[in-house]
Amino acid sequence: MSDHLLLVIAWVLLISFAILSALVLLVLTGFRVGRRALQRRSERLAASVRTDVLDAVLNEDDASTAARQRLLATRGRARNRVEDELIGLLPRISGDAHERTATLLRRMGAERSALRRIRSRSVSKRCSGAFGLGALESRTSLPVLLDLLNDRSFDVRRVAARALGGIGDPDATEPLLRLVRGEPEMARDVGFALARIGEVGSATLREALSQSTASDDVTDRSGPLVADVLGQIGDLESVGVLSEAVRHAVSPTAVMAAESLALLEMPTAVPALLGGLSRTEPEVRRAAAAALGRLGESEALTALVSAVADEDPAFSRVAASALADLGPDGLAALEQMDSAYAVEAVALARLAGRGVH
Amino acid sequence: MVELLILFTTVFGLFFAVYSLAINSMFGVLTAIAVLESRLIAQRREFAGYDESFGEPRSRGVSVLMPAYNEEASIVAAVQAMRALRYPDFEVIVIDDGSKDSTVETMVKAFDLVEAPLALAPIAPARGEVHTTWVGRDGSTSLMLLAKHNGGKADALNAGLSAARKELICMVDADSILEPEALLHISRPFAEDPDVVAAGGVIRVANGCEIRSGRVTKPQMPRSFLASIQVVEYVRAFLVGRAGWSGINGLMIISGAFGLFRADVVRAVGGMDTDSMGEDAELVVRIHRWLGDGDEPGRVVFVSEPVAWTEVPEDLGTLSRQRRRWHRGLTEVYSRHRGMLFRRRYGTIGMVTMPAFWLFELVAPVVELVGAIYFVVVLAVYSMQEAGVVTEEFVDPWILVLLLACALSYAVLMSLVALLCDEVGTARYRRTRDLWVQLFGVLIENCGYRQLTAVWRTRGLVDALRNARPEWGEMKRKGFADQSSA
Repeated sequence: MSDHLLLVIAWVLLISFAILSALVLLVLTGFRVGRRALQRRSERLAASVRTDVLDAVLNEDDASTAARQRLLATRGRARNRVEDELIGLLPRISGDAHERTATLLRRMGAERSALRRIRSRSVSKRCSGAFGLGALESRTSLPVLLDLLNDRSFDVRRVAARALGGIGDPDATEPLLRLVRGEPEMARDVGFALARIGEVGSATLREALSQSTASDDVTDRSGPLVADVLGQIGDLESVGVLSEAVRHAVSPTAVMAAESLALLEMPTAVPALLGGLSRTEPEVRRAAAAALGRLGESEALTALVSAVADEDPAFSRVAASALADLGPDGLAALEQMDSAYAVEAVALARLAGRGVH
Repeated sequence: MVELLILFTTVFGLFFAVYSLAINSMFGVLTAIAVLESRLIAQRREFAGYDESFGEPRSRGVSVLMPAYNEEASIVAAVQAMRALRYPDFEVIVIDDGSKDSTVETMVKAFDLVEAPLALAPIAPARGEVHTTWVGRDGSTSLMLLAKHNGGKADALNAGLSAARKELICMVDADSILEPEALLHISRPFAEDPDVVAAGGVIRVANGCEIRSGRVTKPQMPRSFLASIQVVEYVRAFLVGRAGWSGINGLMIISGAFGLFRADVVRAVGGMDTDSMGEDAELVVRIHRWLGDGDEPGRVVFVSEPVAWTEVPEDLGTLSRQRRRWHRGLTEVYSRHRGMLFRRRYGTIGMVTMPAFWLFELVAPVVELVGAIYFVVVLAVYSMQEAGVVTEEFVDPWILVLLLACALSYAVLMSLVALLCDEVGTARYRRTRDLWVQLFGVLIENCGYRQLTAVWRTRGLVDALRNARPEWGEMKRKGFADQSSA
């Protein structure tokens, strides 16, 4: 390569890097300075409406009526700010305050505004719209939110899933399950939504768990999710399907089923959990042992005593802890054992003041 | 002969220029990936439902392991801050690695601990045995203390692993300050994807920040010149570099100051390697190897929201020992796991990350040093040319100066882009003054600091090749008692 060509290339590169660096520096400075200015403006705006927002939400007197009127009279950026503050508050309040806030927002046209935003090309606006519809618990927007489960943006689908939880309509249960089967990374959000939908969706969930138990597909995340949710919502009718899952489902589902049976605290689950102690997967055995401890039924004593002597240290520890949870009989059995896990469980139980000799 | 020397000079000069272009271009690609990620994060943050995550009853439990050595001055504040993390289910296990001061007594008194015979399940032979264990007076195991004979950080972590009861293991340094929602953020990938086996968070520089009750309340650039350069370095290497690698599923290193792992996987690979000085990197590489050998699905990810703040060295002596040790650790990792290089079964790690790290991290300090020597030699030859001592024209000074200027300006550009990425994604520093300090740090990092660290890193490489006796040294810490910039 000739020296001249090399020189030209070097100059071009140097000048390009210098220009780009200057541009990046400008943008960086703009961001830093601009962000502070925006923040200050936002804080001023928030401060100007905050007192009225809190008065309107928390109280029901003449002052709060006047505050609501003032909020209804806001326009432009101030109106948007008020809406954002109120919508942000909604998930955090309940009872009369929640009802007052939702009513105020509807009068302000927040639902219409949210519906407009979900048609925007901007992902942030669609998320904001979906979030708003969920916070308002607007049942009429159920079809719109179900449609958003097919949005091209992951974030919009996620927010729509959570918003469906806010609305609480059981018709959303099956679409949410389809969503998580197709996108396992939605499990946390779909679980949140299903738990909020609650008992009204439990029939669909029980059916889904039965199907999952019959299937061998370890990649299907709907199984453990459904088992988890049934326990969270306290669906006592699901003891049967959960017990089947502990016995026969793939291990992620069986583990969640065991944990849910512990939450439901039904003694009828003990035989299934004793079966779980014999499964080959260590995580299922641990979950079954822990659940037996939570249930505290003495018929688990013999099986747990054998479990303490298992060669899997994590299983031994959980089994010893579960025995301690069974009460005086369990502790008496532990005191007869040499196992380090038995000694630990007894010592911890003594410190906790649980009755020992 | 003369033509040969001219050719030699030219080829070498081009080599260094191309190498510099390549290393910065690689970083440019990583930066582009990290920029996309930071946009997504900024977009997602408002609607990601983190507040609700705190209330989720089935969040996976976390065992936080804190190895401690001679930390009597700061251990109570550090543990209090750790216990105040917002997370529904976690335990803190402090492992005292044979402190010569009163770390243990301080802990026992401050937290009202009592001795209890905890059952330990060792996963690797111990260098220093655990001799006493403590729990809360009410039998609670939410805080446990293990006292052991000295065996090093990796050995202490293995002891903690043997006592851990939760599904996930979080390894932190005793002097790390985690943000209150750090566990919520870093555990999220595990909840969303069962294939995630390890996750790393961002490490930021605590020097100069306002700290109240064990929390960084106001991030600020340090007053120390050396620490402020390291802020830029950490943003470039930790935030941008690792986010980029994570984006292509090629993350090879998770910092020992803050990482979250699946406990079953760490146990399956045999815990921490007590012979390695880079035990954090070595663990992650060994996990990748285990995944590849067993053809198991698994991902190691970087999460750019959870932050651990740590104190960095403010004197050259401590900094040099630290960098020498880090590079020695990296060399040892390569030495142990060189069989993974260019092997398809190890995926992006074997085919892309490890070769790139070998070329642009491991041997980079040697190349930089040789390049610096080359430049000095060439300058000397040019002086001789000008003085008439040498009659042939070996060196065109303009080309050399321009190539050097290109290399430096490209590196400065990459550092600026890293700062911009940080500003867009997380915006930690608010003051305009901090921006000027960062910009100054960018200039000095690329004009002098990196060349200096090249010397230390080369020594680390030589230490590893010679298998020299390890030297940890001690860092003079200020600790995290309440600090303010006032």
